[in-house]
Amino acid sequence: MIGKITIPFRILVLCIYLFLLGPMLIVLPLSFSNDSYLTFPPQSWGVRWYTAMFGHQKLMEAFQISLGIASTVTVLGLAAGLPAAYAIRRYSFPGRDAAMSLFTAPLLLPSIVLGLAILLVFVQARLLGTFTGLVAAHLIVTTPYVIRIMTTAFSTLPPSVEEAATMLGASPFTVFRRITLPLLMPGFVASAALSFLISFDEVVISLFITGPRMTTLPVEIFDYVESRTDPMTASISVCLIAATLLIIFIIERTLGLSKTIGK
Amino acid sequence: MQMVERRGASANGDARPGDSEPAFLKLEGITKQYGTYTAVDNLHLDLPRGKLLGLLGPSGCGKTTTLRMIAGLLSVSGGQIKVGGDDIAQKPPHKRDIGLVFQNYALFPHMTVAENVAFGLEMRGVAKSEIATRVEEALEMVRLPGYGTRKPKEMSGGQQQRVSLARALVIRPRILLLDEPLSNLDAKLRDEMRVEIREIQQRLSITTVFVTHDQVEALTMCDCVGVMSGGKLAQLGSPEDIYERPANLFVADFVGRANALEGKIEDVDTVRFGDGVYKCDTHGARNGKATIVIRPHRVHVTPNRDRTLVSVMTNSVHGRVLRVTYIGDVVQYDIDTGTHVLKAEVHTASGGHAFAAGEKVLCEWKPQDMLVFAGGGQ
Ligand SMILES: Nc1ncnc2c1ncn2[C@@H]1O[C@H](COP(=O)(O)OP(=O)(O)OP(=O)(O)O)[C@@H](O)[C@H]1O
Ligand SMILES: [Mg+2]
Repeated sequence: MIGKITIPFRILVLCIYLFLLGPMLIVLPLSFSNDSYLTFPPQSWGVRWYTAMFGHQKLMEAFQISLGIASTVTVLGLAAGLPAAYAIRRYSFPGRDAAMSLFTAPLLLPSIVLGLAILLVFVQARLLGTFTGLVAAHLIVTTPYVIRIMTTAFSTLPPSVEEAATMLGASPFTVFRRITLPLLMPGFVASAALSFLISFDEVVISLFITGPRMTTLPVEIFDYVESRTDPMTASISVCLIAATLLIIFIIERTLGLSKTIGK
Repeated sequence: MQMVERRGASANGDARPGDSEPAFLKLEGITKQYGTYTAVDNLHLDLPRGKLLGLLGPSGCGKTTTLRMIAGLLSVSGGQIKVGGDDIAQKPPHKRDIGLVFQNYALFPHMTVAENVAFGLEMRGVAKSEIATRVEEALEMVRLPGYGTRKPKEMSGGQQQRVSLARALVIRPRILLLDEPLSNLDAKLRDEMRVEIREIQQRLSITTVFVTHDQVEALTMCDCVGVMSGGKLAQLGSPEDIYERPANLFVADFVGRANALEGKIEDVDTVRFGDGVYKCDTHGARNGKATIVIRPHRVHVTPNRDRTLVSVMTNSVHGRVLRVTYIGDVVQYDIDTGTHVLKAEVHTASGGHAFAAGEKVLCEWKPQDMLVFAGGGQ
């Protein structure tokens, strides 16, 4: 942190938090409404809409699909992004900077543009509304994050640190276990968590390529909200927020989030 | 620059350091090739036990490459590396029992200072209780007692480098290698660390190779100095040998400041350059082109007077001061002799006459201060 933490700065931070967390103040009470329509404050209280949510078959199916897609995307994204980041940081080869720019370019494109482009390609490839198609589309979005985070992780691990361990008598496997792995772990966990959350959350691109046979949770919620205005949306939101917080909490407790995201 | 051999001095030096002592570290023709590029070319070198060798040379001459081959972090393209008689060139680095100190310290950021120092002992299966005492001893040796619980990033550069030294030494390696360990430190700290490293090295009497491109470091700290150029060893000798009796023009020019003058050998004791004839020792050469080297601080600058009044220094030339550069403890004069520009350095503390630009002066020097390298320069 540069400079002092002044009172105006604290107030600014407080305002930002209020702005970000404000919706929670509405959504949380709403989710425990027993009314048939969205009214605030609720007239009657209960867990009616939580029960309805778990009983909603299409929603639960979409939830399972999203879970499957997000997990697959996380694994594949790491499998592709890790070696790419390693190569970019540890080797010098012609076109290295170009490769880095290319790999991280999707970070700069608006999702709507990406979604449209993916739609055009996937129509031809018959990938619309398929599991493969959704995973591929999400990978385009998540892999750049993995590469970004892991290149940073590798650059904070200069080769000389591993070499120092070698010279002190550590076998290659011991070097990996005692030095490389612990030092890369924060970046690794951050990439995994971010990939998972982005994929699980992704709605814009998914809207282009989901179909009646295969739809993701955010798209299903989106559809639901379009036709209905009952407090179930609030219940879903609370569940998603709680799940996200749980993931962040676990990372924070095991590794320290500030360390994970970078200095 | 072309290497010009000086008569009577071989590239490996007349006075090989420790001629009598057996070599503990022996490099026998080690070579490193990157594709068609030869980074280290058939290097031979002997280092007796407990001695400190400085590897000195310009950037890119292959110092780091040589060191990394000894460490085993780079494979050799050819040749043998012997430590105490065994060839270790094919041994993996983690079995070589060699300590290495890096320029960027390379401490393990996720471990405390004590854990860093303990790492090598753990790898050797030393008992926990013994590790604790040896770590504390090592930290005391580098004057960081009680710093064990800190993380590396909570320490200054100089402290980190000392931890790195303690970590390398605590395993009592057979050989210690240091790759420009002081180049990230400021000038004052570097001076202190130089003395400290030398003291520890002598106290433990550990065979050490110290890579540097700083000639002061090489000359002041080391028992012997190897000057490298283009992947080859240009000279190996004591600091005094290297400075006073450079084996070739490259060493003369690289180590210390030098006036390198193109001239001609007239006889075994006479050379000519410009309009003058000068007395010196040509090491038996009777004729031919030569490059003559005179150290600037061996040139005495005196007020202008008749040259025929004969100088006590035997050799002298008239000139006019072109430029005066004040460097603190010395003043450097560029003196135009009509045919050459001669650099001279005079100590400011000597109370001598200070000359101004444009002033006429007489430069004098002794025959033994002229180094004659037979053959052309360029
Ligand atoms: N991996 C490599 N591939 C090709 N050439 C290399 C490689 N590593 C080093 N070289 C070349 O080998 C030569 C010697 O390099 P080295 O690092 O040993 O120099 P150095 O004497 O340590 O220089 P410095 O003082 O700059 O550290 C250099 O010309 C360098 O360009
Ligand atoms: Mg180097």
